[in-house]
Amino acid sequence: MVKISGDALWQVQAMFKATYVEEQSEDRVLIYQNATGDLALYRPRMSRSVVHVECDVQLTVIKDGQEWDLIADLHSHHIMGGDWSPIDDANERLRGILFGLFSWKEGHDVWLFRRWNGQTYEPVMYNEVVAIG
Amino acid sequence: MTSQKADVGQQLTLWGDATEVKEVKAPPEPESKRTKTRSKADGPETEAKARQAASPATTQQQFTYPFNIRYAAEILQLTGFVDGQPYTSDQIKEVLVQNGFTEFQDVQPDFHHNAATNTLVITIRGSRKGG
Repeated sequence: MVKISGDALWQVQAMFKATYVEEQSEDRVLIYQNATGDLALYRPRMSRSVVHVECDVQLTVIKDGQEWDLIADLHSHHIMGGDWSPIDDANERLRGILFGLFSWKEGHDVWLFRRWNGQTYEPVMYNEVVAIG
Repeated sequence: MTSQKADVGQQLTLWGDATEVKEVKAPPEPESKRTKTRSKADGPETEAKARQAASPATTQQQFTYPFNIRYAAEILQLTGFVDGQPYTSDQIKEVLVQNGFTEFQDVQPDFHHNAATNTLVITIRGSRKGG
């Protein structure tokens, strides 16, 4: 399983917090990986509000002749807090993709991760996907 | 675009669409629209015209097999395509679902051709999250 650096995740959650503080809306970041293992964080064009975010998701991006594949799809919750919503459940059914949810509603940072195996969601532990230090 | 070395040896790149994010808040509907009810003059013909205007027929791009389809960093091994036959996005989606990729059943995938590798890459339209 691919590990995301703690640095990268910190940048994502800082962006999520800034979006909520400045615009009171949720946010979303996609993570891509190329054949040599490099990662790219991508914040797609999206429509968003305090309770939703919507965008087109490219499962593969061709950039400078290289194919970058989506490996993670991360978004934030601020009203609902640290739990998956029914809308999340209906839209997180791509196999091979790590889905992440960030919340700080309760006053501390919470990350949840999961994968869809074709039948059900499998929870993924933080230390399985995030490399610290 | 900025780059930095991440702490697990990965080259971390930030793609620069952050400034292009658009916030869309649906404007409140005018009172007259919210309370509008169909009048007797709104017959089936009017309704059909309105439906046609709301969803105009679009010509889907077609892709002639053979081509590869890339998903989750892999080239899929699929059955059901016929050499030399053109396929629309809807038809490709159907073949994907028939091959067990049921995750595409309830979404709207678009396909784009990468000529360099003769590969179709997938975009999911209108993926929504919320809480």
